[in-house]
Order: sequence, then structure tokens, then C-alpha cells
Amino acid sequence: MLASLEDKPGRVVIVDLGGGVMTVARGDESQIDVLVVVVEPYPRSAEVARRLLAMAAEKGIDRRIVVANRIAGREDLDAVERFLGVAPDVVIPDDSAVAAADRAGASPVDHDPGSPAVGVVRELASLLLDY
Amino acid sequence: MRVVLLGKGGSGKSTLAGLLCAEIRSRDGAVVAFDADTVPGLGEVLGMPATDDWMLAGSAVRDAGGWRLEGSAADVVDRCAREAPGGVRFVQVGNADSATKDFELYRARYPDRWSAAVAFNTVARIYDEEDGWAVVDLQGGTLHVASGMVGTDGVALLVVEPFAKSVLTARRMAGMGTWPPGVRLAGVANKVDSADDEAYVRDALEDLGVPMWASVPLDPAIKRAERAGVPLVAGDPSSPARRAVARLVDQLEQAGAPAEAVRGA
Amino acid sequence: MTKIAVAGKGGSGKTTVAGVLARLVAEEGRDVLTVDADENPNLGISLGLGVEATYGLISAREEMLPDGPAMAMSMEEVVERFATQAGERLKVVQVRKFDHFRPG
Repeated sequence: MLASLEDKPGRVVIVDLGGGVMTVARGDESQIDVLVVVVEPYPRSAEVARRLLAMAAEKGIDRRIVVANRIAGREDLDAVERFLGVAPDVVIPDDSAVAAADRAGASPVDHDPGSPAVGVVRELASLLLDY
Repeated sequence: MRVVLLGKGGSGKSTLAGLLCAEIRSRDGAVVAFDADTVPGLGEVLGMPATDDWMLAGSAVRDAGGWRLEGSAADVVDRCAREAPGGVRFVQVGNADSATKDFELYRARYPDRWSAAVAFNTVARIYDEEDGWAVVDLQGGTLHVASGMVGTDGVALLVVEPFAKSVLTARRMAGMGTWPPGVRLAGVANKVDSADDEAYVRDALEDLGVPMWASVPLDPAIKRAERAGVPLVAGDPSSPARRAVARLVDQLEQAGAPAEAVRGA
Repeated sequence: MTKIAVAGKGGSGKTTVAGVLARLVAEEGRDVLTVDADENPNLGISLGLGVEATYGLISAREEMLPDGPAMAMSMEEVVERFATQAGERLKVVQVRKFDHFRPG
């Protein structure tokens, strides 16, 4: 599907793959330049993340970024490292502004653009696109 | 009594399924728990080590008409279910570590997984015990619901968190078409942290014509248990979430009880 | 052109990250196409379209008849026809079929 997209220089395509592993498992990942895996500090979240990272490596997606989400402190960060086996590349803090946006059905960027979580995603953008 | 859990991914279906099993076991009820998701989930909640075990491999065989189950659903469960801590019988479809877009290729490469998935989808859809419980934890999202995994009998519990995406998912599910007439659709508000949260979900469910059968609070003890890998069946029965689930089980028992004819009066 | 895919366990915050990322990148001046490949598509909410608009978004798959000429469309044509503008340099297209109860 992505293969037939016009290769416009400077264009960025972001695909939300849906939860779980089957979209990656079944996908033709040769089209993807980088896979961002979002993980929370819980064993089951980390298990899915671990499988996604392994599948991506198997399929030749060489750039893989791990984003730890809803990290409330040192304990949460340690939990991610312990359950996943690797340190995350980006750490998004537990941010009440995001929860408020979620509740309202709004984007955090509109609801509270200065919030810590949005700030970290800005860093993620730089990391992904070498600003 | 058949209970099937559905809802947006991450809404807490597996945890609720685990709490239901714990409560049923504390009442000495028999329960078979089905994990329909292809990533470790309900098993871990129940205290089973996460394995890629495609438990029902070989339980469905190809014949002239397509696929045939080897025995009845009860036979398959008796043969393949594993015993989880606390006496919960557990059946999972299996966990995927790789796959391919090409179904033909997948079936050729992984015949065991394929037959396990076919068997699981058949069994989970129909398994029902007259004097026991079946708790079926579906994959998050609408796919499993659309493909009939809810079955044609029992209670479908729509698990909704107090967030817009979770409510939108509920809206989609309630609006998927005609629900099987033998299925009762009820809602459960989950991870409720305030009266506002509860009202938010209750109002949304009301708009959809779905009764809210329980409101389960956000419970730090549950999060701690998950982190520590403690099976919910071993958890504190007096924790807030567990008490809410106890009331839900009361309601489910009532729903499953045959209607009593009014005598005399 | 850079193609980024976002994945994770359901509820991990993946869609929120994808949506916020898309908005920020578009605000930096890049042309962004977001693809919602979830059969339960919520990306519109994280992009800032709101619940009703997100609920009402047409899926490209839905509109494409199984054997009709639309299946011969390239992704570029699909985008042209089915994408929704979510900002000045930001588009979203849904590519999974909406799930209704299947007959039989």
C-alpha cells in the first residue's frame, strides 16, 4: 500500500498501526523507515513491545525507537527497563494534561501545547527527522 | 453462564476477566477462562507463565466440508485447558511472534497454529456450561466482535474507560448491526477515578441504550499486583475493584438464573 | 520522504503519540500524511478533529468495492479521494474496513 505513494521529498508519512502485533506481523514492512514502539511500565505492555521489536528486526526495519509512556518516576522507568530488557529512547511523563485532553476528546496539542508530554513528543520529532 | 468481555484495547478487559475469575472461584464456582488475543494477556493476569503454546493445535481437522472440531467443545476444553492458580481452567488461542500477510503461506508454514486458531474460534464462541462459567476475553477492538466471537448466548460486557476513545469504541460496537438475540449487552465502567468519570461513562452508555452493570474504580492495588506479577486470584478480596466485581458477579448470576414463575399471590 | 510506523499494545498511548507527533511535524512546516490502519480508528481525535468528525470519517476500504475499479487505485489516488484535511499541511486517511457483524 505504501509502496505506491509518491516519493515527495520532505513528505512525512505516519502510520498508526493499531494495537497488538498482527499488523506488524502481517505487514510488508520493507516500506517502513522507522518503527516507533510505545510501551508502558507493565509486564504485558512490555511483552507486546518486545515481540514488536523482534518482529521488526526480523523484517529488516533497522530503525526502531522505543518510547516509554506514562512514566511517573524512577520506579516506572526501571520497570520498563526491567520488563523490556532495554532502556527506552524517549520518556514521556505521566501528564495530567494528556489525560484531560483524552477525556475531552481533544488533541493534547490543542488542549495544552505547553504540557510536558507534548514537549517530549517534540523531542521525538527531532529524533526521527533530524531537525 | 457465558460472559464475554469486549471494548477498546487497554480498557481493562483482561484485568476484569481475571477479577471475575477470582470472584467466581472464591464462591467455589467452576470457571474456564478463554484468551482470544494473540499476545500474552489474560494468562499473565491469572498467574500463568506467558508461553507461545497454541493449546488447541490439532483440535480442528480439515475435512471435505472445511474444518471439523475433534469432539465437542467440552471435550476439547477437557483435553487442552491448563490449570491456572486458584483452580481457574485456562485456554488461550496462542501467541504470535511472527506471521505473514499471505494466509496460504501462513497455513502451510504453521499448520498447528492455524488449526489451533480455528479450533479456538469455534470453541470460544460456543462453550457454555450449565453449572459453571465461561469467561471469554476478546482482543481489543471491533474485529472479534464483528466476526462473531461473542457467540449467540450469555452476557457481553462492554468495558468502557472514562475517555473519549473508549466511549467512541463502545458507540461503534453498539452500532455494529443487529446483535444476536440471545446475547445481553451490558456496560461496565472501568478505571473510574471520580463521580464525574462514572457519570461520563453512564451517560454515554445510556445514549447507546446499554445498561451499566458495574462501575469499577481505579485501584492502585490492581496496578501493584500486575507490576509484581501476582495473580489476581491471590489478591485482596476487599480491594475496591474486587468488591465492585463481586457486585457484578451477583448481577451476572441473576441474569443467568432461569426466570421463576410467580406462584400463588 | 520518511515513513514512520507507530505500534504498541492497545492502550499504551500509541495513537496519542502518533497524532501529536503528526501535528508537531506539520507545524514545523513538513507535509504530513497520517494513515490510520486500525479497524477501530481513533487517530482523528489525537489529530484534533474531535469525536464527531472522527466518527464520521469515511474509510477508504469501505468505499472501495471488492471487485470494482477503485481497487486498482494507487495509494496516491486513494489519498486524493479519501483523505481528510486535519491542518494546513496535514491529512489523514483511514484504510481498514469498518467492522459490522458479518452474516453467517
